[in-house]
Amino acid sequence: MSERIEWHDEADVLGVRVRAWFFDPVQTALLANPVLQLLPMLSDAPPKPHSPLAQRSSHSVGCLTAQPDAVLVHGDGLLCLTHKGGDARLHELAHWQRDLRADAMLQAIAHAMAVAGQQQRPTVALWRATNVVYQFDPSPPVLECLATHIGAARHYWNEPVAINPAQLARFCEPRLRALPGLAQSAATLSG
Amino acid sequence: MIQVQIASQLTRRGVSGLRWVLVENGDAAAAPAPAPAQRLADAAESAAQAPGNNARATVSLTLLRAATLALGLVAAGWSASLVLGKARSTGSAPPPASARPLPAAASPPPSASQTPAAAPLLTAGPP
Repeated sequence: MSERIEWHDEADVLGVRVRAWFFDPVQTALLANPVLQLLPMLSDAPPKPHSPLAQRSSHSVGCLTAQPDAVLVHGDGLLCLTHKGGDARLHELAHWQRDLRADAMLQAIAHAMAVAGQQQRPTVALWRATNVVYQFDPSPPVLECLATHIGAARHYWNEPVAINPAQLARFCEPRLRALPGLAQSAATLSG
Repeated sequence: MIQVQIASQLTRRGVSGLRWVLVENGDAAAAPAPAPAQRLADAAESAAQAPGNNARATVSLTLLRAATLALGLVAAGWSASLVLGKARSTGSAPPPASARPLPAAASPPPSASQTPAAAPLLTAGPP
């Protein structure tokens, strides 16, 4: 059996390689394993929760503190999943790039950075909507932009100790859109 | 700096393909930006600590100390002369001008009733 996941679609969005896996939310809700309800494409080897699913653990790197919805152990690495707080709209396979919000994508990457920094393990950034799971593979410029603007974002938001991924994402999104190489892929996002 | 590893690939049994980036440590990032005055002080301090300026700063400091010491000695001597002069004036020294009686020219003209008794002798000329 191939280890590779057959993603339904993928594209470059704002300097991030986004892979999408669509599923039927009604069928998925009937699965017994709560982890598979969140990530139905990993039915062959379901990840193990790093901390109880009902408990949102806090992870920090530098002045960035995140509380992802779930952190899962998957082989040698971790999966950082955010799914709460998103809208309840069904994303369409043909127009998912229009439905995907840039701030949600950047927040998911920032969450994964905090988890990876604290746990010192390679981490995948995932975001789950009602009927689709997105995996985000940020390019080096995107990672560098997020990592190097944590301090500036903290000053901008006037936070004495730390900022959260939403604040970092809102601070960095216009800067990413202004990067010359990313402007073309940014045009597909409504923001 | 803290290393952050983001996996680029998700497979059915694990993760693969690492991208990494460095994040500034929380202590350094949390330190507030220095105020302009503090920045100026730091700049002056760093300039004074430069190797070329070190000997010049030492010489200036020595001269400044010597000048301060000399000024203190002069002030002490002046204060002592004032105190000793006052003590001399209250002892064997003649009274100061303000303590002496006014000269005759400065006194008001005597009235007729206050004319001394020897005055007729003075006005009487020789025979």
